[in-house]
Amino acid sequence: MKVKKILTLFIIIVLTLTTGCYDRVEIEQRAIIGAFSIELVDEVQESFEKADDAKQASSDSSFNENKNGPLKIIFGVINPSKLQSGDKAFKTVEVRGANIPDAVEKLGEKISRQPYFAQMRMLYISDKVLKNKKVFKEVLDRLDRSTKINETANIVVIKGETDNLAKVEPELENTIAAHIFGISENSKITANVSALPIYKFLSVIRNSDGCCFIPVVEIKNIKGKFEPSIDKVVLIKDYQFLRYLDTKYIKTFRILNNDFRSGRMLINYENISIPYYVYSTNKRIWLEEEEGKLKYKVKIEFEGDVEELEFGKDLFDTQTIDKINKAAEETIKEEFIETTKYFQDTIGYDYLGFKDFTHKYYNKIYQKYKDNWDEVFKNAQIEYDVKVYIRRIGISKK
Amino acid sequence: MTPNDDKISNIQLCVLVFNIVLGIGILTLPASLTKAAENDGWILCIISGLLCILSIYFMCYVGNKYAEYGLVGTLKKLFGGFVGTALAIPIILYYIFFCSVEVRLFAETAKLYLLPNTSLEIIILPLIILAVLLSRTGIESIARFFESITPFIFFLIFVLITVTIPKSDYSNIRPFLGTPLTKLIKGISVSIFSYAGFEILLLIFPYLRTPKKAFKFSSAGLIIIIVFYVFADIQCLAKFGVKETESFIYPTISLIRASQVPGGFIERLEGLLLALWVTSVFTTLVGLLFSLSVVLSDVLKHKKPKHIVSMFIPIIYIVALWGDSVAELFELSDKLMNTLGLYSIGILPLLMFLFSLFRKRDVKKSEG
Amino acid sequence: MSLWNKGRFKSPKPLVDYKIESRTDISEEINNNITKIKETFKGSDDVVFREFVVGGLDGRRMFLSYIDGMSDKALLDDFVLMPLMLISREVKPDYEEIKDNLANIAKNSALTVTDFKEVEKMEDVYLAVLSGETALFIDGYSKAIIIATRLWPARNTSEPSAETVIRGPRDGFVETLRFNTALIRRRIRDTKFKVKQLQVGQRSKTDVAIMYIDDIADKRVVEEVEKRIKKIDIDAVIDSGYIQQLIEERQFTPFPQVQTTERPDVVAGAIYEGRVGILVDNSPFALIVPVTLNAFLQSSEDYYSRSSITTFVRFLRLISGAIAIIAPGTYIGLISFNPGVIPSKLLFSISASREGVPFPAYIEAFVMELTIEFLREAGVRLPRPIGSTIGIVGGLVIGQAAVQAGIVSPIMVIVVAVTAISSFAIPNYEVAAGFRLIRFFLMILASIYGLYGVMLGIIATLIHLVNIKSFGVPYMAPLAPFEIEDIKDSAFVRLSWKYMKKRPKHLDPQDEIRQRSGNNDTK
Repeated sequence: MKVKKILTLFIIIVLTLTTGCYDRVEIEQRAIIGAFSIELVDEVQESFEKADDAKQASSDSSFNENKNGPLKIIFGVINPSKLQSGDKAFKTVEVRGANIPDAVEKLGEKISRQPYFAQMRMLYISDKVLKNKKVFKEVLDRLDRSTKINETANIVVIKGETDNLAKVEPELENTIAAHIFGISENSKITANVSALPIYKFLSVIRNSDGCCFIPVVEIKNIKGKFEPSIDKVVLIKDYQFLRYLDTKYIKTFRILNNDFRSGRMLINYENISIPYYVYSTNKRIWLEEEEGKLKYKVKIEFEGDVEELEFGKDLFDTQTIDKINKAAEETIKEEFIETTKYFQDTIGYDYLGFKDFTHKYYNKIYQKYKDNWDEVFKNAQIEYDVKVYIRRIGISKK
Repeated sequence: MTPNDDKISNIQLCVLVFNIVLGIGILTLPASLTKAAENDGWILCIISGLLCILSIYFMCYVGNKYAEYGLVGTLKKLFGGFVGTALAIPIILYYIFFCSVEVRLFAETAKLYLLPNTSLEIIILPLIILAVLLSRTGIESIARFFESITPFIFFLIFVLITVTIPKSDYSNIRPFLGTPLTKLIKGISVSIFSYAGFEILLLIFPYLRTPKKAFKFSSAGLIIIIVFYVFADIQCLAKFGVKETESFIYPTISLIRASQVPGGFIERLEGLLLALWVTSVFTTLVGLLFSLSVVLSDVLKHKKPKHIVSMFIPIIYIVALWGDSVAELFELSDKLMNTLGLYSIGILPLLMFLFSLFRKRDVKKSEG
Repeated sequence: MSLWNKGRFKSPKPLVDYKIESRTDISEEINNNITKIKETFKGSDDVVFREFVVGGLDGRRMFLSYIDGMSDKALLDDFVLMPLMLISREVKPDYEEIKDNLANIAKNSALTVTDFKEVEKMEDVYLAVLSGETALFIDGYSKAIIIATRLWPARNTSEPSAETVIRGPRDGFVETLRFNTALIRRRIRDTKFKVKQLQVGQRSKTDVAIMYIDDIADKRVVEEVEKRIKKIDIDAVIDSGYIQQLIEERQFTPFPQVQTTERPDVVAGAIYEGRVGILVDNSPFALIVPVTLNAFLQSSEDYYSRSSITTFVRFLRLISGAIAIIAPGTYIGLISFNPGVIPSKLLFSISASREGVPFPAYIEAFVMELTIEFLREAGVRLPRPIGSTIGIVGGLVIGQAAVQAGIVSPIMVIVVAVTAISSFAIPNYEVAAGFRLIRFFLMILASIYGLYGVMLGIIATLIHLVNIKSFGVPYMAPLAPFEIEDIKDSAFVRLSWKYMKKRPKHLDPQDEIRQRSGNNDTK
């Protein structure tokens, strides 16, 4: 009996060894993709807009695979052996393809190794892609469907040419991907930067039916040096580019979207702008319905430290702190009101999470208005009640 | 020294139920729950879990009464020789299909996340062979295997929980009871089959050392699973929201993909956890195979169930490769559950329960 | 069932039993006996025959035989020959009485040795002589007196080199059965402690002692052990390893179902738990049955040091056991199949370090693992000073050189080293060896299926483990079947003695309670 068992096991092992159905790819034979960018080529975009003729013609023929597609994808392939020596350890490979899998396949024609996406850090999407609904949806679908792409990679939109990205000199890191990833993860320190993992992006855009925001990387050419900065977000409506959101609204926008972790706010107090470091915010909303209009009352509490005032001024005093609190509350409240106004009047769509809130906590009201939510949002009355707490003032009294 | 009597203890029964029910279902469950009841999937989960416990109660009631007869014996006692055997046939079919679907579904996920270029056959074969090897060795060894694997499974679940909790938004579970009641009730039929596997209780009674406590321990096993299912569902919702959860085929794996290990000593978890999850799928498979062999040997009046198991390597292998596409596979599994599954989880236990009640009266009358 | 087994179990061959076949009585005529014994030991020049006369020149003849080197000559000279030949002469007893009753007088008042017995058959005489006893024949007496004169050059008890402990007794078993039983006896002063002695081996006639405490050990286990040992039909037993293999249920398994130890405290502890100890003459290794995998991961020291430390150490052992089994397989699975699991930076450095390596990871792993096994084997066989040199040469030079030559990657060397160290952290050598075999099995599977293969391998191993039983006790106990009481002293925990009031339940002892009054609370 035992012999039989061992024999069967042995035969199975031999069979499986000799069938050659391996997934074995040695680690050094993999091209580890640190990031890739997706861009729509200009001329193709035009032809898209004219009519779908070109596409139609090509899709009639079944052998359209080898044609240059509308997507320009630049892969950042990491070269591990250079990583050790501290050099710039990546290579960019530009591929044209009809879609992402096609581009990946073509990548295989250009590099000697097998592309591997599990360690991907960043995904860059050109704003041109956002402007083309069809292509954007295709890209989204690929991201959602693929098992290979690292879902926890951060996604950003590139404003302008993606080619410029490759010209960025990564500081302190060996790859651009690590550089930009590091910046976007810095949202713990700065309020303007935000990180958006792919899985979160996908679930938001699906749950809100094509309505979301993505952080934007702008590559600025400063004195011949290309520098990235992430201080904007792009608003997407109905799977399409809507507009960039100005930097000044970003903080409040992120607080209202529960995306704020910690950051600095400037408070104007007696002509001094005080840096107020917020480390926690607490948002509560009440809703009332009045004659077909929604009335929101938003209460936001801030907790933080005052980081500087003026040398010699006494801060170790409840009255002064109360005053600063008041001043801060006013400044912040204004910011909120302005932002809300901007979204209600200029943009006209609810990006501030009121829809989601109403759905979750006032489902009955939501069911009434959900069909023309944008109108409801525009007409909604939103009041803010800001409370600021200064918890600590550093280690000096005056 | 535990008595070598080919019987299992209460804890072993609990572990047995737990491990058989917990299998591939957890990987797909949140999607079907969300589809059926949106945010209230977890409520659905609890309700259907409680219904399953009711079914367990029926099974245990009947099982206690006819502890030594086994499933086929009890059926024959209750319904007469021919009808009893006929009633057992769907159970056999059910087990064959269930095994195959289980194997196939796991192989599909393994192919997606672990071995994209390895052919399905090669993934399936060792799993089936190992399962047959274990189920041949009898209930005692099976129970011991399950017992020794259980700490590991708990560890896995613990990892799953700790890893997925950060960065989730639990307000996504709201609004409570937003789904209409009719939809909720319809959804029960979807979710109740995620607990399929506990019907081993139909036939386990001859192998129990103390059948009296079977209900308590087996439902304890099931309650752990209810908790875990509820957790998985809530966690998926918290991470992805309703629509995205619904759109996934394997939401739990997606959940793991979207998680990161704190500290970062492991990067991508899904490959690792899926490879580890094979143990859980394996235990389910073994439980099903064992049940199959017991029922079939009773029907065929064969004394040794273990000889029958080996026969099933080719059958399960072929049936597992039946479905052409993933969509067809899911359709197939839905069909299987809605017919044979309903029969073996719901209808048959209820029938047996009712008939056993009548029989009791008959006996009393004749005694009187 | 019967049909199935008919072909497999052939009816046993008729046992050739010396004892029944050719047993001869000792004759009253001493000459017959002398001829017989000389005939039997013909060609054995180390057998000494000594003939002498008691009671003057016309006195009775006596004859004495022993094996030179195995018997205590001084004892024979001073306490056997001296009283018989000289002192008995000085007393001048009644001649007639001596003549008739010589044997009794010799036994009762002349032989000043404590330990002797009488036998009636020649075969028993041969056996006794071969065992180092001295046989004394007396003319006109149809029995032989066997004087216990066993003495041969024996090793002193010393600390077992394979099972050293920091905390705990330093004595170890030696090659002499009697010393060994004494070492156990010293630890168990209980009338219920039984030492049952059997002889195994048709030619070697090796003494085997079964030791157990009568009212603790499971009767069935004791009977089973006795049955299996009695069933052994072999010409010679050189070491307890023979017995071990002959009484094990399963042969085709890397996992031992009998525990071996050189430490008397381990055996005594096991006997108190309700296990059965087996000692074999000429072997310093005692056997303990029944045994579980659990017991192999425990060291005797665990019971002497404090429980929190022990729990930690046991946890370490569990981890090291896991590493020893799965590390190289997992390495192959990760490097060649699922590198996504590895953190980015580590992945890059592994990838960079592997760039020059010409072989796939599995070949690399096999080469290095085999090298380590060669080194281990070489180190064991070589004399100790050279052995350590080999270790250094092998570990440092070959590892370093292989990396520099680009044959293996440095990370592989680390993996192999960690694996080797982990396997040394397992207290029992035999089970560690079993783990090593499993490791290769997992490596093969991993090179086909990656991590999935590793898991399949673990499942297969576990299937095997749950099917093993050692003398009726499941191998995975107390985890499977689960016994909450026994988890107190298992592979991952050991509670303080204060809380271990019962004996291990999975051994099914007759008397479960260890601390009967429970008065050990010091509150």
